[in-house]
Amino acid sequence: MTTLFNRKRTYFLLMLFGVTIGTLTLHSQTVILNKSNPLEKISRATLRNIFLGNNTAWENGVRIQIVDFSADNTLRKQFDENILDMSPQKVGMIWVKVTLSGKSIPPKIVHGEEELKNFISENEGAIGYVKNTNNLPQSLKLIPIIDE
Amino acid sequence: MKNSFAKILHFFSGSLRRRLISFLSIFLMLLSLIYYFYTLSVQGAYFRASYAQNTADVLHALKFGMELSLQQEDYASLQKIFAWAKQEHYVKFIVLVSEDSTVVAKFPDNLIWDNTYLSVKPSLQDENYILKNKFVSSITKGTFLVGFSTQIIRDYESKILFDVTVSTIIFIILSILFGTLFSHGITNPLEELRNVTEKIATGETDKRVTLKKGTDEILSVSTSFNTMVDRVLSAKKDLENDLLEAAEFVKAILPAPMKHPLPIDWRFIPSKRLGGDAFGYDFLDPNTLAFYLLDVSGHGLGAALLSVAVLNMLRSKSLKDADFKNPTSVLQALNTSFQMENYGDKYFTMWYGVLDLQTMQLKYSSAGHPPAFVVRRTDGTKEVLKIGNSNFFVGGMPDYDFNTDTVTLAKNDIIFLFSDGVYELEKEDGSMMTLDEFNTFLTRCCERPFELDFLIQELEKIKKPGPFEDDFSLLRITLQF
Repeated sequence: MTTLFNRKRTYFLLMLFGVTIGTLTLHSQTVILNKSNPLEKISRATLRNIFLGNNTAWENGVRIQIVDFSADNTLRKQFDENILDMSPQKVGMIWVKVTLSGKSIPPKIVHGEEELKNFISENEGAIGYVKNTNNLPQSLKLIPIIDE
Repeated sequence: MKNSFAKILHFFSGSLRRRLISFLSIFLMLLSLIYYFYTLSVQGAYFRASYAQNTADVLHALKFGMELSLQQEDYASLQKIFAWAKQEHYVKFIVLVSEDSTVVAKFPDNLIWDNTYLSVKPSLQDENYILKNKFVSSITKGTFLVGFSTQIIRDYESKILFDVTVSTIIFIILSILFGTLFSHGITNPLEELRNVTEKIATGETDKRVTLKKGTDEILSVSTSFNTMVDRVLSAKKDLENDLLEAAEFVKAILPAPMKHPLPIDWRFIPSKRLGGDAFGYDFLDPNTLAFYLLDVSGHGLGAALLSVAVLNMLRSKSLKDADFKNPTSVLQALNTSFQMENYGDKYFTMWYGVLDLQTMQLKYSSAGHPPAFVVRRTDGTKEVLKIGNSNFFVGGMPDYDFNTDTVTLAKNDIIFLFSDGVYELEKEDGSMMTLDEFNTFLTRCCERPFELDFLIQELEKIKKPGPFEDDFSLLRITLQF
């Protein structure tokens, strides 16, 4: 019985561990902002709203400028599926709708993390995500994604 | 309806002017209508062709731009392309449908698309201008539809319809004006020619055509016409002069009026055309007076010559087998000598009388001639006797037996011998005076001595103004001795 109980507990612990690992994997993509942005952390829901074009401005009034990778990028695929729960194609179609309706500024599509970092350091309201956080320039800042 | 159609037909087939006007106007109107339909069809076809080309260009540009910007997720370019498409006034709506039938994008926003149904229902013609095209990109692939408005075609067509209709109406009005003016240019001189001809026909022989402008056939016709009228008039004048001379000659061989042994007076007014009247009187012996008057049929020189010939025979007593004291004998001799087939179908009427001054017996015979009138006054009453009988005219029938009658006259009777030209006068009301009216006229007219000039004056009051139409011959013998 005890063994059985222990086995069950072991499964539970393993499951819990798995979830933790998963969360850690998720958090391996880190959101970066321009240094001037006062935001210190961001929730998944807010991120979702921003990346699907529902939020168009930061709390301080600055227009949000999304920077994203092209649809065939692995990092983009992971981000779309983990954070937005959609395929990059679906996200692209949403952006077609959103931009053609004129509600928000279309995302800037870049072809590498360096280009992304450069663009964000130059644009006050820009937001993007990267995998490699080493040697981050002074003009950028990282913020964590928190679960609510 | 049928009546008015007949009226229209009558108008078009009326005068030369109307025919020309209608011909020219209808001709130019037909030209206008050809221009009208030709312009409409050609302009319309041209505009439709350019419209089709334009829509195809727009569709091509949209497909190319969309594919490229979707491939690269260049949303800014996509925005620009859509913004451009919205500005294209041909584009009415755009629907972008992905492979799984979801609407990726659309314009305008309130358009509802579920693959078969369009909420912004274009008009019937617009539906013919929905163009479809497939597209492929990294995000999605599918179809896009562009609805092109044909309003612009209808606007353009109604605009050219208006323009062309207005210009055609103006053209038609100008056609009628031009047709009228042109026709007047032709028919006005013709009408003047007609007016002048009519005036000359009614006697205004001094009228001429006064056209001066132009060098065309009508002018040369006018000139020839004037020349012709001049020539004809001069020929007519020559002829009139001849007739006048002939009349003078006739007058010259008439016997002079006399006072003794009894007063005889006469008036002879030859007509312009010379009527062929002649008369004479002659004492066959101191107590026997023969007097006569004849009127040759027709007018002119022929009639005058015949009357002079007859008169000469009577005067010179050269008539064969004639007893001049016997009217029957004289008329029969004349009838034998002057049969009409030998004298150009001319015959004559004649009154011949022989008066015995002692017995006062008058033997007379009239051949187709009006009777002589004898005015007699007894005890304050005046009566007019008709002295004549009804023989056939002279020259008509060979071997005709002329009848002689006798009447006894009284002293102071007045004999009037005359030709029909004296009483066959056209009165003011257009009717002819009759012999009976002349009889009445003589009864009422005058007191003795029946002054001839006064009689003529009175007759001229009755008749229509103008010269005597026929020879006027009036012989008056007063039985006073």
